[in-house]
Amino acid sequence: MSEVYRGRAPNIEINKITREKIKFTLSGVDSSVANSLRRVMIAEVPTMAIDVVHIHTNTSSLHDEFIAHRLGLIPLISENQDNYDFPRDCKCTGHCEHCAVQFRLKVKNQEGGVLDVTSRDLRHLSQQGNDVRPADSDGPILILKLRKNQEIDITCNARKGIGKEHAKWSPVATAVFKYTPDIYLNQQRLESQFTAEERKEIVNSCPVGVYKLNEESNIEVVKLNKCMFCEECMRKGEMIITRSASALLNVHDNVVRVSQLKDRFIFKVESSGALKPESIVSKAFTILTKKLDDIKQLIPPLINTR
Amino acid sequence: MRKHGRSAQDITQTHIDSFDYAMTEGLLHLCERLLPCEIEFPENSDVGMRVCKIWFENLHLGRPYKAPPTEGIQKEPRLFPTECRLSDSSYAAPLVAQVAWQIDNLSIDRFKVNLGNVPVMVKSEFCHLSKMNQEELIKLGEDIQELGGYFIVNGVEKIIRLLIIQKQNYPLAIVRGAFTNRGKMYTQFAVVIRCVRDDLFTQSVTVHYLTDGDCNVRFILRRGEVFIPAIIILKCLKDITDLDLYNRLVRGSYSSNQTYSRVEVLIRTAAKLAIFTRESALKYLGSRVRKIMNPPSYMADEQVGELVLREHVFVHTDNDNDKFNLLVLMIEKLYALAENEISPESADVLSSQEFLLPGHLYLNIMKENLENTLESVKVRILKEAPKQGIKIRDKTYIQKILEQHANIGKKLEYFLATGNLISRTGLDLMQAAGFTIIAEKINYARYLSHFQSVHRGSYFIEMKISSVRKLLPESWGFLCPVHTPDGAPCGLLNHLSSTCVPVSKNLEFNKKEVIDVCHSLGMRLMSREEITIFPVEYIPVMLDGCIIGYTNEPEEFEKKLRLEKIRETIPRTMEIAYLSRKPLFLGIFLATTQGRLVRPVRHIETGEKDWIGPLEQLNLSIACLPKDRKPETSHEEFSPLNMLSILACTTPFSDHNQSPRNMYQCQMAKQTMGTPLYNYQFRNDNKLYRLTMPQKPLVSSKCRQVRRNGFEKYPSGTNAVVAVISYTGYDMEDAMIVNKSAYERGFGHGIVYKANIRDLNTTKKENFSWIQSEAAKKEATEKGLDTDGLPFVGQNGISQQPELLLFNGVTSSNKTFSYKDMEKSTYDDIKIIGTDTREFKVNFKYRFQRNPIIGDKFSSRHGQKGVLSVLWPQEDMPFTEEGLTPDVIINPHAFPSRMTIGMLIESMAGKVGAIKGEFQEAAPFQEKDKVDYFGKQLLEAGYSYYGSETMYSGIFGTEMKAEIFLGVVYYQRLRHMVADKYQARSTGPVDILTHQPVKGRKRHGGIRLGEMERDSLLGHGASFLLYDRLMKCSDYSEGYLCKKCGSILGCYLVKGKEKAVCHACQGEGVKVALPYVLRYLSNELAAMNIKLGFKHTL
Repeated sequence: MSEVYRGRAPNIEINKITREKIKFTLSGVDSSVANSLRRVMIAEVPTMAIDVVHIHTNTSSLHDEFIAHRLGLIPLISENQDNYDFPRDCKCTGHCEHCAVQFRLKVKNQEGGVLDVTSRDLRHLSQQGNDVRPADSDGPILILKLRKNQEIDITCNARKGIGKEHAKWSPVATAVFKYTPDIYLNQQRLESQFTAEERKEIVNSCPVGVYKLNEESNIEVVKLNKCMFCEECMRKGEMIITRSASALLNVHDNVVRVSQLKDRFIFKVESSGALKPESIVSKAFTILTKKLDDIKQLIPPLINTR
Repeated sequence: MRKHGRSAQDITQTHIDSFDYAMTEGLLHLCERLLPCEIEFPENSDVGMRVCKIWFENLHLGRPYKAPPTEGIQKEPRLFPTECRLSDSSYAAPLVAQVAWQIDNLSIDRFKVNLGNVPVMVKSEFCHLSKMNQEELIKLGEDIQELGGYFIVNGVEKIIRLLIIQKQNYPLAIVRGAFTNRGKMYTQFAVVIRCVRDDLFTQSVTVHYLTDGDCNVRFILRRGEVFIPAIIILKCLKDITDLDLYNRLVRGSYSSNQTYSRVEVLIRTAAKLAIFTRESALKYLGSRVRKIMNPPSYMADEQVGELVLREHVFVHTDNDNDKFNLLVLMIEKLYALAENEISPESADVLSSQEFLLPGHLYLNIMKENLENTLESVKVRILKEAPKQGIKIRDKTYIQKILEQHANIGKKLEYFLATGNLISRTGLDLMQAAGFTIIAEKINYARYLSHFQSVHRGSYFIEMKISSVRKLLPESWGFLCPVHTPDGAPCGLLNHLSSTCVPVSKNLEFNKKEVIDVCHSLGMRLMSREEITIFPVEYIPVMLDGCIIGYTNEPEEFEKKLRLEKIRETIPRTMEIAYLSRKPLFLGIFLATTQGRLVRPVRHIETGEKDWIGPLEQLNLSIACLPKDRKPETSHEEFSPLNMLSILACTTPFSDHNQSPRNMYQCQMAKQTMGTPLYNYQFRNDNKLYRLTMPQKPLVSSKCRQVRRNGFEKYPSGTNAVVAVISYTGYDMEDAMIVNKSAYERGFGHGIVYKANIRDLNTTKKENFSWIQSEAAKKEATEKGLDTDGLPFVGQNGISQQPELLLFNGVTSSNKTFSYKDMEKSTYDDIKIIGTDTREFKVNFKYRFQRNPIIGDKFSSRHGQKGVLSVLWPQEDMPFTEEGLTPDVIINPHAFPSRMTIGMLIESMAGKVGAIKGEFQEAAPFQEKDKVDYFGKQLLEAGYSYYGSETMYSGIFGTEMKAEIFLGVVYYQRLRHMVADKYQARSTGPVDILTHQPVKGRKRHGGIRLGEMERDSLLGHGASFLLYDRLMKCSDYSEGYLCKKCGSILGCYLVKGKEKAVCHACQGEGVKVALPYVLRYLSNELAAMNIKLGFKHTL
């Protein structure tokens, strides 16, 4: 763990951003920081989600609770969630424009056949709150289906919340990091002690295809970040050695060695659609900082009491 | 005949077919066989006749109809099952009899009598649903896959259980010590045959071996035993000389055994009774049974003897010659048994058993009730004859009496509702109760299993010996070795294997044809008139309990006959059992009757399907797999899965599990919350479970057995990502951790529906009607109800809140009914049930949201059950490099001792299925190496071979040292939920007598803190806790103790003073705290003149 103590500066390097996914490398920090970031992204970045549902009419074949549950799980675009208060912080009793966005779902199947009721049928009750709407860029989200003469009439409030309270408020599908792999190949020994066939065996042992044989039929690391530390390559190397010579094994002396860089983390964050992936990350940092600030606030009184 | 394998409908088809047979052909035979009721009047009576006869000429079962519709209103006249279920009524159709009646052998009068409404099996020929297609069924509010096979009695679905009974028309050699108790000279040897007539009337006949070599025939007459020397019966059946009889029995074998000397004894018995002719034998028989039979006086003893022979001895055949031959064969077998030439047979093996089918039992009960009706009509007429006189000749009078006494519908309804058999004769059965079960629709597996279950009989439950429960090789392929409960009914309650079918239809064939075929194949015919004596080298060929001939080339005969059977010149399901080797009693036994079990195997020579029976199977060589073939092998299994029941087939990779785990899974599959049906809105069951978000299993048996039965359409579980890891400690001792986010997204969500019917019939004090007045409507609104006095659908039901407001016409006031359940629910549906004129029942259907909470029970499909111990936040769950967090965490300790390797393979297979988006095959007995098959695919997809993955702690973010086994397993939510079971109280209702807390969760009672619990608390020195539990929260009371005499009974406060005085000794009383039971004990003892005095230091 000696490398932990060396002087370093935290750094972020963004590898890829798409509409729903971000990949970046966080370096120069401990796993505690990386994990804090991950946990905050999952559980504490607030979004808006439908929370209170009033059912006026429901003659569909699904029962009330089930529809309410489905409504809750629809991701709502929450880029402007800062404009809203948490219901518990709002001064109003019940709900108001500062803490809730109201929707109405009123559909009746008059034509016959089967009518799909989707997230696009959710209408805002008032002009205000148009920025919070179902995230359906990948197509409408099916809520329920209606048969002829079946009817649904629901008003519901979207409110702000965090994933800790209910998974519907979590902005991420996955938020995960892993250590950066560090692969050491003893090329000298690989060339001298292994045949080309055996090198190929090592390359093929990797289930995710980290290695490749180059023109000189030497092993080369091509997809380092794919490595999942399954150590199949290490085992294969050992196996080949024991097969040829009955040498005592020494892991540190291995021809292939997979280890981890414990201060470089590859993050992958997939959004549920409620927030842009990059804003999830930046929000998470803001929240982390605020948490630290909140703790810092407590320090002066502590000093004063001394 | 049905095709190999079954569809879901085939599961109940046995029940339906047997009912159809019983109510069509069965009723016809019944009418033919039912003896006329003869009423004999005294000679000098003024009735004007001597003898009158009443009998049923024809019985006809109709279809269920409602009462004729009232004028003007055009309503559906048919009565449908849905309506019966919703209104708690019975699905019954009228049984109409054509009664004939004749006076003094003159002209016959005929009239029709309605014998009452008889419950009808759903989807039988007599049910409106029988020929309906799916759309029509849905229109009637039935499930899309309505299987039928049950009755509806008072709204409850009832099934008549399949019962194991002795194989019919097959003489069984039995050694039983208890036989010696039947009388002097009796030995333990006997040959028993259970004979069944075409109207399904059953009568057993036993031939006992006596110590001197004689034989006695025993049969039951009107619940009493009758013992007659075998020689008498033989002589009754045939006019035969002693020499012929001797030759017929000995068959020329003088060398090895002592049969000839025994036959001499037999013949001497007749000589001793001076019986030589058939007439004298019949006379003897008649005189012996006359008292029991109570025949009309004009019948001579000979006629009575003939009657007994016809009605009670070997009833499966009407031919005296057949009866004679059978008795001779039984005696031969008995002598062979006594001589120890053949080994005894057991009644506990499947080869000597068959099933009592629902329809058959139903018909038998019906028959007995018809007999009883005639009997009671006879008694009534004889009683009323002196008063009524000539009126008895009146047809309408008889009709009236018949209708009064014939309540056959009610009798059968009682039988179905209670399962109790009220019978004079006992119907030759070993039990009188427990014939019916409720068809619970907890989930699809449970429902199907009811129809497949086979019970050995409640008589055996109390038996100490375990021989009846043993799994014997004879039941291979017929009864499932896995699907039996553990505990008390283990081995007694079995389930049919997936391809085994009880024969429940009459085989359409002519006995003559079979005999002709046999004859053409080299069998020597048994003459029906003359006495033909075959030497001992010839072995008998029996068809349904009658000897049809003898053959000396049995091997060849059997082979040829089997080919004929496969060619269908003789019935396809006929059993050809060739018992070929000593110590079996040699013979070829052909059986075509109903209730037998048959199952399909491949006949290797022809490659065709051959339906074989249990006795037949014993004497065949059947290869399970092609590699098992031997030179003598004639048959081959279609699939090794055929030995398992349908439910056992659904356990994935069950061939990799320890066997008891598969048994547990069969039990647990039946307790799972799932999808029992799709017509929830038309059901009013007391309790109905529903899994809100069920999934098809990713890994499932796709063998015929499972696919055909619609298991995929009625799923009962969820595919869960399962990590096998010891994490947080909340997964100790079979607890499982569930991901809180998974739960919040819908994992395991379920619903319980309960129904509550409020019966609002008019009584003296109550005559309810809907509220009308404005004031009442206002009251209803104030109470949170709709203006009709009923709650809104979708409204919450909360304990003690009003749920119904009605106007009581007797008191002219409104009455409020309130919601009784302690748990909050939602009104799912409210139905008003009633006739055209008056509504009289309100049915509330409540919906209880039952999402998983701590303590709810879950299980995988491998007998691995566990309780939910905590909902663990997603961010704290361990995660893989892909960012996957498990839905469920279970402890690795669940595996070593239980050895459910199948679950590990399922986990790998599920993972492959999830990655590839394909359902995976999981049938047991696949030839491939499953671990390698799925391991390779995992490798291909970029996972480790065995499915383990590197995981990171969600709490610390650090990598875990060990690789974690992670995969997808189908999880079932079991119906045992904390919400139904939790029980807690501090104080509450107490018993009146003892003042101690009452028992029972329903009554808000306490839980017993027993001696052992008390001991452990004492051991901890927690005496104050004990004082609190056993005194303060129990029966604490205060009273006065007399300082002088130490009594706690006599001291009371004196009026006006603050002093207590003992009434017995005038001593001073002091206030003490006592458990109330102590006072009670003191009182009880005082009543016995024992004084309880207490020493004290006060």
